[in-house]
Amino acid sequence: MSILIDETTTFIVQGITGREAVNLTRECLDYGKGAKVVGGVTPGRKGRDVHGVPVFDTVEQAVEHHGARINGSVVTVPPAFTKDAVLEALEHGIELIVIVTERIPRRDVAQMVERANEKNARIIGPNCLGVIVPDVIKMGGIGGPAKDAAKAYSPGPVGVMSRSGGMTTEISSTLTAAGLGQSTAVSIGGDAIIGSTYTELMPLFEADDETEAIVIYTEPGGRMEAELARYVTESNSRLPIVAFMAGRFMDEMPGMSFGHAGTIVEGKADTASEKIARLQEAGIKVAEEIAEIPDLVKERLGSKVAT
Amino acid sequence: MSAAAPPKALFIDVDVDDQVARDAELARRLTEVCPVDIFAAADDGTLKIVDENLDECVLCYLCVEAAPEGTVRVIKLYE
Repeated sequence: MSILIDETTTFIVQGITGREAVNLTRECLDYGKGAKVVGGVTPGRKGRDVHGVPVFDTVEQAVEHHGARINGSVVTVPPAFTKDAVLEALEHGIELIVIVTERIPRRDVAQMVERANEKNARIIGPNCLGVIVPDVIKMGGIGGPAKDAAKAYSPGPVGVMSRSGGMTTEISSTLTAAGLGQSTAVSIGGDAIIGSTYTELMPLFEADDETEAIVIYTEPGGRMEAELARYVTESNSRLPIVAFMAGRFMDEMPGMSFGHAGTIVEGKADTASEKIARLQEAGIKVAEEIAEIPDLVKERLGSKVAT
Repeated sequence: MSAAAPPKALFIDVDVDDQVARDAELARRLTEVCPVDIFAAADDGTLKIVDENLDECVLCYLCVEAAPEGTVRVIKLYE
């Protein structure tokens, strides 16, 4: 099992003729069991193909060509056009939208997330690298080229969520090297407003039989960690969580910030050390450094994992 | 004839009851909780809304939670 996607998931790539999209389409097609990329959309480019994936002018044409509901979309269009692309996907029944684009106006993100909620759809991102189920499928640029993703990710019991796309792979690679595979890894996005927070994804991991522990990568700023701590406290979660908090140096250097918008905007009231304390109070183990994560996970899993 | 004033924000506006805005303690609390500095304390301790920061809102609703119920409203300027 996995969350969000599996080998049957079909998806399109909106903005597929852009350079980044061409690359991630190749990566998705090559990885694992081969993603079912059933179409791409770039207005004015209908009739072309990208690595054999047919290109259409609209999502409607892609759905019509596929002849059935399409599960997901990876959105890579420029910031000014992202909202229209996402709303178009939602209007045509797409239920999982991975938004890679960064620097989308906050107002547009809020609108997209609200519309997705109305449609019972889910947005991952913006400013994320997507979702990967090791050895099965990846949706987005997460892990990079298929051969690299195959080295970094391995199947197993750990769910990974990260505000940084690159750190999703770094942490998963560290787990893999220690013999701990991943059930699903999700790059949730680094922006101030995102479609799916840790807390919103936790119930999916709870419901996934394969997942036995969670590792999260966090940064200063934002309320997501406080929400997660509250969720863990109030829900009696079955899943032990190990967290790694980057940016502790920022406590000593007021004004310094990470690149992610989510950390820039909210540095005032919630410092790294305050977040760590809050997570620990909820029973979440916080690693001092990335190399500690595997041992902390094994410790929390006890005899469940053969090492 | 003068042109119409430009909107002070495109994303959200914030409306605060006068009673809250005049309460120095609540003003201090709102100034403290807002992560993007939409609120500031005026020289006399009352609450001042910083128009240029309105569009930095991250919809955390900490301000709504920090004030008595219904006295601070985050108004969405979009459909």
